[in-house]
Amino acid sequence: MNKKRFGVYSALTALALGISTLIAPAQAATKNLVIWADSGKAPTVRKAIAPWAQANGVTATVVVKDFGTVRDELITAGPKGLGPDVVIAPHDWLGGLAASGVIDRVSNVASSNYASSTMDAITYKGLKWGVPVDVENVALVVNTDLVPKAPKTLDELEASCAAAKASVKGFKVCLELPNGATYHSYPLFTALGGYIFKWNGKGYNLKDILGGKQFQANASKLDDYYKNGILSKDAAWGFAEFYGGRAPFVIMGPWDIGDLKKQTKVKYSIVPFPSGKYPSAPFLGVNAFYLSKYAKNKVTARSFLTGYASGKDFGLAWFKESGKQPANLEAQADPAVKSNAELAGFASFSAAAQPMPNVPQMGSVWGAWENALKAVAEGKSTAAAAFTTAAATIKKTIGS
Amino acid sequence: MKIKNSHKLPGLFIKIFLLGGVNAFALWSVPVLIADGRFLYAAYIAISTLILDYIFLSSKFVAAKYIVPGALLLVAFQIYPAVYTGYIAFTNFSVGHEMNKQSAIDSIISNSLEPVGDDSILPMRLAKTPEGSIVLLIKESDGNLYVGTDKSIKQLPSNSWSADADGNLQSVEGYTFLTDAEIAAVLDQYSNYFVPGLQENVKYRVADFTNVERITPTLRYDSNGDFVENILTGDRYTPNKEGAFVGADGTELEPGWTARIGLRNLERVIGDERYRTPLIKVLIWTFVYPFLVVIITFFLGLFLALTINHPKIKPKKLYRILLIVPYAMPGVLSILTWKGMLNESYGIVNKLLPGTIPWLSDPWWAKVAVVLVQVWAGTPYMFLIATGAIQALSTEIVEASEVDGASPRQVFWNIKLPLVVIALTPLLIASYAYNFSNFGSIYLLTGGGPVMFDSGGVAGYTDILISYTYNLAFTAGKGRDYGLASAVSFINFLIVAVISIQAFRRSKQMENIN
Repeated sequence: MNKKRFGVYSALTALALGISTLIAPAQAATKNLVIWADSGKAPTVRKAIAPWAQANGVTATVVVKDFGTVRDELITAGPKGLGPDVVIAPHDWLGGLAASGVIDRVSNVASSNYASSTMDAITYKGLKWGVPVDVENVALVVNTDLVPKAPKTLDELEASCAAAKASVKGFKVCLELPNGATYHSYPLFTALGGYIFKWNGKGYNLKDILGGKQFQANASKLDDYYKNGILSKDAAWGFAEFYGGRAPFVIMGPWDIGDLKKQTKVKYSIVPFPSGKYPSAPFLGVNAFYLSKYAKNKVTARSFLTGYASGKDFGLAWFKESGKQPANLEAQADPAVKSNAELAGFASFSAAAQPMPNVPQMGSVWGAWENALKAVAEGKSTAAAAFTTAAATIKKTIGS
Repeated sequence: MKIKNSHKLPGLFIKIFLLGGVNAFALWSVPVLIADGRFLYAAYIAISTLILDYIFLSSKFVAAKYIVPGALLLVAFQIYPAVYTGYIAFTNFSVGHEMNKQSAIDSIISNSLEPVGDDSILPMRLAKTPEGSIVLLIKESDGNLYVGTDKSIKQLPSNSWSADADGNLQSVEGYTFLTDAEIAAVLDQYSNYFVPGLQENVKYRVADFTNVERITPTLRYDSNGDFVENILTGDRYTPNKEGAFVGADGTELEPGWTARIGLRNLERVIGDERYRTPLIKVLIWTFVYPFLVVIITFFLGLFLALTINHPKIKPKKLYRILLIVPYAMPGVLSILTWKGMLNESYGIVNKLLPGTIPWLSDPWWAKVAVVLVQVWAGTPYMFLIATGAIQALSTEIVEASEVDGASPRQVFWNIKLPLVVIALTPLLIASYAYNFSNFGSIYLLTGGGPVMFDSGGVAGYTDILISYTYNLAFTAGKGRDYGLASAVSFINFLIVAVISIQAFRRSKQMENIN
């Protein structure tokens, strides 16, 4: 080896060593907690966790993740040690997360802190998994100028609609339910005897899909509703008819509260959706914290989940920052939460709420269900036929 | 001739800097990868780096200096993923089958941990022995204090410790409590830490900063018999061939693991009606769609090229620039713009047309829409290459035929077109192959929809093989089925390979004719 070559080698080695020290990570000894949340929830998590983090000397890092990819990232990044300690996600992801084995159970959360339907939402295969954060469900919003007395039954709703059709100028639709709105139409579907998967007391019967015979017996009502203007295929997500004061009813969720309050034209009340032959039920949506199986800071994470996130203080902080109904019952009973008229309206329907099935097979339901609703709305098929086809389709997909 | 190794100083500097970067990357990543247990990647990076160093520090191997870096990247980013996809096609890699067997067993056991008794949460302090090792001081509900590590647990004499009125530990002889800072420094070791319990099968795990939880697994794994057993009921779960433990009554324990299932994915694609019926429809459309696109764009491009090439057309450059705009615009943008314009209820296209055309929701109209949009995006390219080909035609042949009395139409059909087609055949084939797997265009415009009812919502009427594969990977069945999707993409690969080989043979023959 000549001198010049040697020089080149040593320069190369020095440079390599230099660069590799630059990119070596630094270590610091504090209690850490990494939480993944989507951009909508991240600021709320950040603010709601702050008091606890400060009191316990924890550096809480809330990482914003794209709602659409957070589940995949959890599954891929977790095993490599790059995942979070805790992730906040809607409860209908639970089945997929648990089946993939990427989350750990949090067994010592007191069930008495929550409504039983809330606990059902975070129960998968008989085991409880997460810590519920907030709950939400749709309800019927009534234009009280057009309909002073909220309907208690579908018959009353139909009567109100007939009256509105006769008296309201520019009447187009009575219950402004957008075409193909699966989630929002669930109260009507259940009032007609529908369900997604039949609940057999312990779990879902994946062979009994989309209302079965129970719904088939009442399905023709759905066809009638489109024929006589109670529902319309032209209804869209802007709720223009309702906000224009021409439609007496609309189904909304707590996320519409902002819009409702902003407008001044329509006086409204928020009430449970009327029952038909069967009691009506909205879907219960629960956002929950889950503990990652691959959490690096499991002790800190468990401390947060059982010592703070499941308690009243966190619930109140969550309500204050997000305006959402906290899952914790004590926080719900707090005057600050109770005095919120809109939340109270939606909450009046929450006792009837059913958790959206959290089985992974749920992913195969939405598309077929939406297609069935659209086919009915557009008059291409009767409700009975459309839902039979949809059920068969789903059955095929999930192989049950 | 010997090529002289003539390093100029700046060149030498850049070379050393780049090579230093490569070596730094290797020095940093190889230990990380080895620590992570990824020996294949570590070995590949180490060997690649050595090869690169050897080649670039030597004055020989001039050709290799050009070829080897590209070849190494090709192996890493093209060949390896392709081989890996091929491998995945023979596994059941899907939701619930993403980990290896050992991880799945660990998961199953850890999911089965249940608290023992109503008083399962017990006060705990982390403390140090005089030797400096860290222990857990656990106050059991029997009132005794125990000192535990992950190996052992023993009771401390009741006169060796004191607690205040609330039961909080005050001091323990021979142990010093860790300070908050010390706790913070060691806390991550206790993420999956279990202290053996006082009864068989019972353990303690750290529940939070100051408590442990008394727990017991309800399932256990027997490594000799390779089964999972319910400790309480004695029910046994044995592994099946699909990578899951299954009980006698058919209940499956979750999660399962990734198992090699041989040709079963292909069997499912071909044998299972749920996949076969849509697959055939998708396959037909996969051939028709690029064919329509290539034919229409080619003739439209040729027509435009001829027209603009005509001597009477004056502002040629302006027309050419205008025609190239769709080509220069990012495809994603233009497709999404089209999606908005074709919207059934508020799109500009339907506003201009009388009546409402269900562009994206009717099976046939959606097919028209995807072809239309791809024609819009692809015509400028055809226009460009057709212009080039026409300009390259020798004027003598055209003039000679005109002298012989050929009409302009005859000149076009009998002289220009055959010559242009021969020149452009390889490009047309390439364009066909490109559109054969033009995922972006389909996915962005229709997402493959409208959904085929009989496909279980997985396939749509405008789906081509590659977008169908995507749907299978990310929406099918229980969620994601990567194994099945890999099997389909394997079929896609075979088809594209056959087309390409066949096509290049044909074009070679044509060149010979020419």
